[in-house]
Amino acid sequence: MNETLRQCPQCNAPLPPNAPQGLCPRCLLNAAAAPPEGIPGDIIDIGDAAEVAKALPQFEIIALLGQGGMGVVYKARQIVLDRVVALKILPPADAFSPDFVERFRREARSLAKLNHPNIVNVYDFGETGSLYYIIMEFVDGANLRQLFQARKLTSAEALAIVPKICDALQYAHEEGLVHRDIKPENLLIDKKGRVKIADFGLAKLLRREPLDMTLTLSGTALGTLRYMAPEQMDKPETVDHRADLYSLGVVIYEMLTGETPVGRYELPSQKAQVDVRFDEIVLHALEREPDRRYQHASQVRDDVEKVTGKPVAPQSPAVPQPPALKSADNSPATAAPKPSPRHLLSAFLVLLMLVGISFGFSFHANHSGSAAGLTKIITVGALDPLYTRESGPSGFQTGINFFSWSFFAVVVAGITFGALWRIGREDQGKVPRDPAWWRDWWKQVGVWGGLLLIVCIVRTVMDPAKVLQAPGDRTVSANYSKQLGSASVPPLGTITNGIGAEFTVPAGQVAFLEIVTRKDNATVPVPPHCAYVLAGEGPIAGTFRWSREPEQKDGPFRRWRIELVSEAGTGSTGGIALPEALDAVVGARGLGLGVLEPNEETIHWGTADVDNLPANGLSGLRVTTVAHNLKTGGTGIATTEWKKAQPKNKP
Amino acid sequence: MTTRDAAPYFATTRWSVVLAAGGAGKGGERALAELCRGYWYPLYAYVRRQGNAPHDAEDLTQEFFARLIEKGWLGDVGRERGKFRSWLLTAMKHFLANEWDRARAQKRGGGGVVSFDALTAEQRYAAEPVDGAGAERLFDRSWALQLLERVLSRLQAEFETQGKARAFEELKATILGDAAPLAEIAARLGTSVSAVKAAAHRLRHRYRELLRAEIAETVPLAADIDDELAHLFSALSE
Repeated sequence: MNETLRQCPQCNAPLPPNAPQGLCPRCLLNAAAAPPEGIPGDIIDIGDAAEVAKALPQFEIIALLGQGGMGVVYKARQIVLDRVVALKILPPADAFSPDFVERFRREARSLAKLNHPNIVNVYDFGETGSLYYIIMEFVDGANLRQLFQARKLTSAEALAIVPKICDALQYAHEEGLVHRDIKPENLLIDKKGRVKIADFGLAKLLRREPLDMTLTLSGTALGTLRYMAPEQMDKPETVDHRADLYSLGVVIYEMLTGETPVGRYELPSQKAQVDVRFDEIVLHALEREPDRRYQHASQVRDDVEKVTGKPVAPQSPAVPQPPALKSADNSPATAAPKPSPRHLLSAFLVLLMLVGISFGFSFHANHSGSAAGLTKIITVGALDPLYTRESGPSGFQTGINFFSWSFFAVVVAGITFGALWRIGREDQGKVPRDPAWWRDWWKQVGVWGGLLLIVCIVRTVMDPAKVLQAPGDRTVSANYSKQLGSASVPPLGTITNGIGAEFTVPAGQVAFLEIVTRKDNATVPVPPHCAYVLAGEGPIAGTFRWSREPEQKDGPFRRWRIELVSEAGTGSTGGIALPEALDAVVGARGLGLGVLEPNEETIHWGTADVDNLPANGLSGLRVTTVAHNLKTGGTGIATTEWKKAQPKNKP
Repeated sequence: MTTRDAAPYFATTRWSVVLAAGGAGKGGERALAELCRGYWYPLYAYVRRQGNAPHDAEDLTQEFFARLIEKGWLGDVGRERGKFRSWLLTAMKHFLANEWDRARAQKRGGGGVVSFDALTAEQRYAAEPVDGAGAERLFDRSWALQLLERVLSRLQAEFETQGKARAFEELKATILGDAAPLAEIAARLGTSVSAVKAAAHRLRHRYRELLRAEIAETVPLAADIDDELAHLFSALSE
């Protein structure tokens, strides 16, 4: 312990032995109690050109260019190099923060590395005593704010510089530098119309994040706040280059409308006569979440150029407008109708809907309209709900069929109708024009439409028959096709109750009949059943007797025995007569004639496949026999049995 | 960090947290323990000056903190929203008056809730001037010195993390006022006088910030900072 009595150099009082850090505790307390010091006398007033000139004799101060939160800028001549420069002197208050000097040197170095025609060049930096300054390229012109105020710039002219700003930002961002304070004051335009971004990175150097500023500064800072990205307020430590893109969005908005977007702002196209595509650009740039914003300045440039580069772009600025209209309430209501791309969109959607619907129906028509004889039979099943459900595909297959082309058409129609409805409501002003809604819409359309399309295509390629046929008749029709080849015969005409219509069955052909019955006397029609007759060697005319076997009732279905009662031998006309006793038969019709392959022994109606129905996971009606043995039976009897299958395990 | 004079109440300073918690709950307890950790020595000095032997003083101080923090004394004593310093002293007086015997009876073994090095404490106490000052004045004086010590250490640490330990050593005298020999300091640091001036200005600014923030931790209202400063100043005078 040093016991020598020491004195405080400040108050001359003896120092106590336990003085903290060897400093006089009273003076220490006094130093804290003293009123906050202002800038010491020997610190230069950077706003005073004469004082600055005295402190920096290497410069000849020509004029004061500007003064603000980021310091003072002089137009000065660097005497040694005899060049005119912009001399930026940083605010002295910042020089007092402990790590300022390092920060200043580090940042100034990285700024000096930036070399881009649209960024104000940093030549050099230096410090003299308490004075820290940056020597920059002098831009002979004005900043965007001054041009706005002097009304020297039309919005089209202003927009023309946006791509240049984007280029410069893109370059700096790639170099890892964020401006953090993009605003019209920092966008300089020289006399040749070239734009240059000033004060790059200065906000970071001076730690001028908005939180600081609201505490330490007032007017200038608040002016700047309007251009700051939300995250600069909320989470300054997370700020990255996308904050600049937000600020750029504000600047573009101001270029378009003359105002900055505040709170629930109107879209540019609602405030001024500008291309509606700018709405999208501005909204995208002004997204609160940086992730949802533009990610690169080059994207902003591309989008802006897309709009400005096309003839539909902003109203020609060259057209002189009456001043009253320009300044006064130029409400959208009084404005001339805009050439709106929305109309094109509407037309496109209608077209898409029509194409989708006709596309789907054309498939339907395809398999119902061609090959008359055969396909009509096919539709028998399809038209019959019970038949379809009971003997048709299982749940799984029905599910897949669901995604067939006709369903695709319905979906396309649905989503396009949704979009048209939305457009209508937006145009009526019932809902705001919200690009986010449309983005979501396109996303949904893309995902679901695309998925559906893929399913349809894959299914069509894998098994066209399954997709392009009506559901439920696959098995039957497949066998018809197989057995009868490409039969193409005229329909046989309608057979009314009990009275057989006469028809001719040529040799080697088969007639197919559809008989509609009802269950007992119930009014609900029993699904149509199909029967067929076979022709003999020559054309025959036959009458069929229908008998019922009540003991074999099975649900709503009947087991029918179809018996050929008389044969005409070589007669050339045939017919069908339904007995009056069979009052449940409400109608019958001959569906057509099929060609019988000569070497076939048996005509099957789905025999093989039908037997396999349970194995296929199908349930419902089971057709046990629909056959006629040509060899042993001659022109014998065809029997159709309909049986409801035992319920299979659910797939 | 900065003292916002406009703020009527320091919702976040430790002492205000303790007061708001009324001694109940973990938040208040933790804040109180933090505070006590910083200011145990003035209490020790007080107890010693009351005539207790070093060993007893250590036990008593430890026991005091134990009761204060673990047993929730705060509820009883913290009604009037005074300064932490005066409250702590009152609590200690109360403890010494009522708990004396019991505290001695149930001697605590081992470390207490607020750890402090008894040896250092006693060394420091030995350095206290034997000027016959009362225990209470000694308490205030030690308090003031403790406060300054804490602030200067923090300031020093800030400089050291920037690798400027030497600059701090040279510059710290400039905190006191303009009597510091700037030219000499500049020569020793190898820089210009104006640079030293600017640095000194920065240092003083920061010191002031830190000190006021530190005091703010122990008073309930921002307006009390200058009052507390004046009180400590007068404690150091005489």
